[in-house]
Amino acid sequence: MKLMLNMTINNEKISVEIEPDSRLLDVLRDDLGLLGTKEGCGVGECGACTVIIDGKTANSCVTLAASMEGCDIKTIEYLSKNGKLHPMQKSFIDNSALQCGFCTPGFVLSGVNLLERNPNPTEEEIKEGISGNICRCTGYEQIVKAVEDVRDEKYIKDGACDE
Amino acid sequence: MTVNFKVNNKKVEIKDLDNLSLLKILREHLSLKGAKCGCKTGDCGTCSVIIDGELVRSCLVLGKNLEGKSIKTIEYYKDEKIRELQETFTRSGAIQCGFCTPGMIMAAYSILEKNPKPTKKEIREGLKYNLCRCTGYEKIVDAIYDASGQVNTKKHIIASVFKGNIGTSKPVQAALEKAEGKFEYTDDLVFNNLYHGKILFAPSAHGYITKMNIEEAKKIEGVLDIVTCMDQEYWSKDFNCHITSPFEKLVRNEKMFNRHFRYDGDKIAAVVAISEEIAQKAVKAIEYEFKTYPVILDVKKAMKDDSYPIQKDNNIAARNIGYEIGNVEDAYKDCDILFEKEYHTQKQSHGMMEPHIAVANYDGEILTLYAPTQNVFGFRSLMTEIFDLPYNKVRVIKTNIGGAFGAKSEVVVEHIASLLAIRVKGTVKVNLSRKEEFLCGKTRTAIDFNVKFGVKNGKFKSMGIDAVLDRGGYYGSTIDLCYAWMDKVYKLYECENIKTNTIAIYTNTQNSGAVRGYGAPQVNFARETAINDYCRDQGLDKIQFRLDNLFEQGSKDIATKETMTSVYVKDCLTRAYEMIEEKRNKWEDENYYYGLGVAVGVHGNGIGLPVADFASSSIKYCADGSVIVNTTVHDMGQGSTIMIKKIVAEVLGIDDDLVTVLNPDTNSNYYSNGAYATRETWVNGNSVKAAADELIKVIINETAEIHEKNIEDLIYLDGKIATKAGDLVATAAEVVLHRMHKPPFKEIEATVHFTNPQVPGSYMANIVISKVDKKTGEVKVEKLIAVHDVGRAINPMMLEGQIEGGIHMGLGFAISEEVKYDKKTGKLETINFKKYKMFRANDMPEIHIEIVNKPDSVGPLGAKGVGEAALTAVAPAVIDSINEAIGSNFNKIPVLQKDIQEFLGL
Amino acid sequence: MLNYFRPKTIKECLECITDDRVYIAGGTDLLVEMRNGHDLSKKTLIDLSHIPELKGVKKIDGGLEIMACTSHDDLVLNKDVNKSLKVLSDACRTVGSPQIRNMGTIGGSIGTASPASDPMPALMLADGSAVIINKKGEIREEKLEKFVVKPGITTLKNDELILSVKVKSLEDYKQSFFKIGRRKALAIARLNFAMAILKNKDNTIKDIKIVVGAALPVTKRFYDIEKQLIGKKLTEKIIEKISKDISDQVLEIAGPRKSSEYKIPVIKNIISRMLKDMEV
Repeated sequence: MKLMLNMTINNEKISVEIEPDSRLLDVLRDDLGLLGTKEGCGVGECGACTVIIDGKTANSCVTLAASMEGCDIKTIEYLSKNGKLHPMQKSFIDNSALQCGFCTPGFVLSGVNLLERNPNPTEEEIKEGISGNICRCTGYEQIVKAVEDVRDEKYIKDGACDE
Repeated sequence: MTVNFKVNNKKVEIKDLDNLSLLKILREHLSLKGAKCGCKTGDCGTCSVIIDGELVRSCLVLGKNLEGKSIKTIEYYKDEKIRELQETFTRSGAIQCGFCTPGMIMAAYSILEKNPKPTKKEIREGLKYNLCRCTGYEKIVDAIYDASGQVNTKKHIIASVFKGNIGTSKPVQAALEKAEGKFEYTDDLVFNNLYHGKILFAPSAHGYITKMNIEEAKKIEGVLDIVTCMDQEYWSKDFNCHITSPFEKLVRNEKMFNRHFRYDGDKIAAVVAISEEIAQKAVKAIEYEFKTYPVILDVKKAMKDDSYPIQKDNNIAARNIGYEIGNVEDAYKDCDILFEKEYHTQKQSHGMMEPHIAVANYDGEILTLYAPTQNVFGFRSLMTEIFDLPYNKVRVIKTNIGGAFGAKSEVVVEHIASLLAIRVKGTVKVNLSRKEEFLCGKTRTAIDFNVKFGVKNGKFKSMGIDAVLDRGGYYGSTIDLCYAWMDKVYKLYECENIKTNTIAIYTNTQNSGAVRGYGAPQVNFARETAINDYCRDQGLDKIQFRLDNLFEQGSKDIATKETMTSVYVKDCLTRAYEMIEEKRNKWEDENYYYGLGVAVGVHGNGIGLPVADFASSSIKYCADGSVIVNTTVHDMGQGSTIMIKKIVAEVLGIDDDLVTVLNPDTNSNYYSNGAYATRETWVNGNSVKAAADELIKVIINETAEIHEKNIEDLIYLDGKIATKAGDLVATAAEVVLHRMHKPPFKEIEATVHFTNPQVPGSYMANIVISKVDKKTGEVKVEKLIAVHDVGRAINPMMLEGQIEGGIHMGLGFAISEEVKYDKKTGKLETINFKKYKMFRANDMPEIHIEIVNKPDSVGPLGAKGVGEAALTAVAPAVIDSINEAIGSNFNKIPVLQKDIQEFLGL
Repeated sequence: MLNYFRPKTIKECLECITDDRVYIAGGTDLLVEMRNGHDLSKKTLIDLSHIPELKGVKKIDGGLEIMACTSHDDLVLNKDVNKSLKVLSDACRTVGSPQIRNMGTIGGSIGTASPASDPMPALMLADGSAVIINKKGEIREEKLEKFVVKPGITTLKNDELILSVKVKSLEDYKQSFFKIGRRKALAIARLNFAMAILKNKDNTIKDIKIVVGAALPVTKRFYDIEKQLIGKKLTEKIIEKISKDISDQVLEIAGPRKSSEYKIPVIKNIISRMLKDMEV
């Protein structure tokens, strides 16, 4: 049984034929070629597969693709869509908040979503906001700093994120 | 619409087929990439599969007609017969580049299904829908015969065997993977977020684009970018597709897209899109206007008429290139007999089974080019020049090659893929169709020769050969080719006075480039046919005349005055004549005229000075006694990887399975020029041999230091270090391990930069028996004897395979392959394998090959190269056999059936 | 072959129910199970994520009705929950990670009957009961203590669906939730506790509710001990006694394990501390 799934991905309406038991992560990577979303654990523990569904982060590895009918999904590719980096991406680069880079897309999206939902988080709240993401390289310090810099509007939005 | 069928006994359901071919379904939907796409028109057979027991070419089968069918492909490993064929193909050396192999094996499967004990003739008949450009079919037929359980009595060439490495036969690298369809060629590789590029070719053979409108094409959904000849951007700057180093100050008169187009394979625009189909659609949607100029296909006309010059001022690419030894004109006066005649050779297409393809990635900083190239460093150099990038920002990685024969030594699509990748900052594939391959691929240089010589007392006294080269529209490798053909004039026959002269001409034809032989088959045809004509005219024995005049061991290169390192061409000729039973020049029976043709020839080894021809090699001993060789050899099925392995294994006295050779990658490999000019055995082979010798010195030094011995007292033998008295001191592995885990902590390796000391000849003699059908004029080459002087055989089976493949190409060059043009428009007519006729399995003659088993004094372990020598003397021998058979005086190739009909008045 | 349905109303959903039905709401548990080899290929998968009726929190007499597909994150933020049953939003805040809370639902927390469920102690504290509907449309209500039979097993029949959880408002109570995991986020509870206390003016206990989860196979409310405390003051002596009684009972129910040596004194200390904190 194949299923036609309609959803909005990175502001683009997409229809894709899927198996009913496909994971959102696999549909993104294999069917839509959006490889920014990574698989780190497959059981919702590491956050490398984080995407934003209807304005909230989720682990795409434990999200049934079929459930995404009509949903609005944003992946890391959305942020730099017009060739310009999102402030959060810039801040991650400037703060060396990335080393191997495998966890970075998930962290960036968690950071972005956190500030969307709470524009002025405390350090504790930032830590809580990115607590669903694991990083083995950085020790999180620079990641927290990167989110703080965006919170403090060190980066002026340059229109890359068109919302 | 849904179609249900079985592939290799598994149920498959495919929806929304449109007009998908079975080949596409197999490759793209089912990821069964064993079946290859060589032409898309059903002419080459690389995509052969079995449907319900019948052999079909899957590119011609529509998916929607497959309901209920059962398909077998090369991947069906459960079928014992397929497995067995895969093994016999591997074992028999039936595999070179491997691109045709899966299709061949399916054809073989079908032959044996219908006829379990076929004769060789029946096998050849059964293979006639499958083309192979490497092997000459000989070993493929053997492999199938073996698989049928019949005893093959055919003898292979005999070579001297050393330590089990040199002189023993081994299939090419990854032969079994090739047989299993698992060897991944560039189109089989998976790239993420891959875009596709398509090229818009010139509308006619000569003209100028006046207007171009890409607006409609740009609007097509999925089109990312379009670049054209109208843009005054960096891609409109002049370059030369042949240039392999900025050091080369050659004429640069080619652009990526040419507003003034000089032949119908000239590129005028390119599109990059999310799919090949969309890119193609956009190419068609590009609107343009153009004016045409008169088309010039003929060099004579081109020389006279430059009212619409093909290049800047006139149609001359180069003139007065040549050199004279002695005084030719004066010497003529002193001769008994003078002979002079014109000879013409034609263009020839490479016809490799895998068309040009390239995948380029640009990440904003580094351009990475994945291409089946014969010259990674040359391509890197050209990309840095075109795109103004530093060397460290361009990386060229050689992918697996499905045949090349020179085609992939010059840039054809690689710069287009790179440009498009840079434009979209992503990954772009450009994959030529067979038609496009014929259009924009290069061809062998057609050369018109005037051969003149004077003979005194039965020996050459003076010789002059003038040549007019048809170079097509651009300069490319003009100067190299001039020297390449001329070089061969000075190293075959003794003659005190020789001069050569070349004029190179632009015409509105396919651009000339490197094709196996590179000038040698052309000049050799002219000279050998002239000698045969001379002997016939004078009633001389053409064997004896040659024996009286040929080089022999100790002869000096007439131009350089250097003593040739080995010359056994007389032995070749004598042995070839011994091998042939029919010791007469012509005879006939009721239906056929028979003729015996003779030719000898020479090809070089490596590039001569002044071009830098060197290869660096580094060999590292691993801690378990295995070794890794870092050098750059481009294996394209000719077997260079195994050759390197065997040489290194021989010197180090280890098994060749313990040797790994790196794949060419400009980021990691030591430098070497590309795989051309028959230089991989001669130059790279010598380079790794020197590195292995050096490695032995290093390891003896280290052993002496560790074990506190005198260096002079130690010897290295077969992976061990012993005292001269014969006491084992350590194994090489122990020494490496010691050095890696105790101070001073280092690896055991040796690096050398080897420069080609000289360009010796590889020699050969070919004797051919042909029969000409009295009623139809059809020529059948019955038997071909080839005896080669290539030094010591390193890998006899693959040496034989190279010669057989060369014979195949030489036969086509002589009597079947013709690059044809519409005389009026100048458009290429031979744009598929139906029209461009390469020999098929059932066209091939009986072949007997031997080598003169004598080592060269400078070659690596006595070896010389064979790749190009293989075809050098084939065409003149074939044409001689025809001329003998019917009493004709053909002085051009190809001699086609229609020419013979005309001559015989049929 | 896997059948997949995505009903838009409860009515449609009931029509889809078959004997081999598997529900999916947030998917955070089911997809992990699938990854671990749970074979759905011959099942009927009913996707509950597109039924608006199953989402949200309603005020009902004396309490709240939390619809089954309300996410943990929604409960963290919900004003009514924060007002009437703060302990529940505190508990939900400790579930998994932000990503898991955004997707995971309260119905899933109950339905999977995991001993480590974080919301469960809070729900039980508020006398939570599951509201269940069957294929015929018949509705039944069952106390959570009874609904969860043992780890992974509930009384939910194949033809039934959890509609919601009803809880009492504990607005006037002092509430407390405590969780011990191996780390802050993405931790599965090793121990979790919920308590609520209502006092008379004289500081004697008018009502007290004590729940221990995680340490036990099934989350347990300590009714007997609660009863003993009514009318009493939380003196240090009493706190000491209750703590010991509870930890003794836990040991009795769960049986001695390797971890008991660690867990039992901790349980005692935490209950003692929670009671003391509430006294302040």
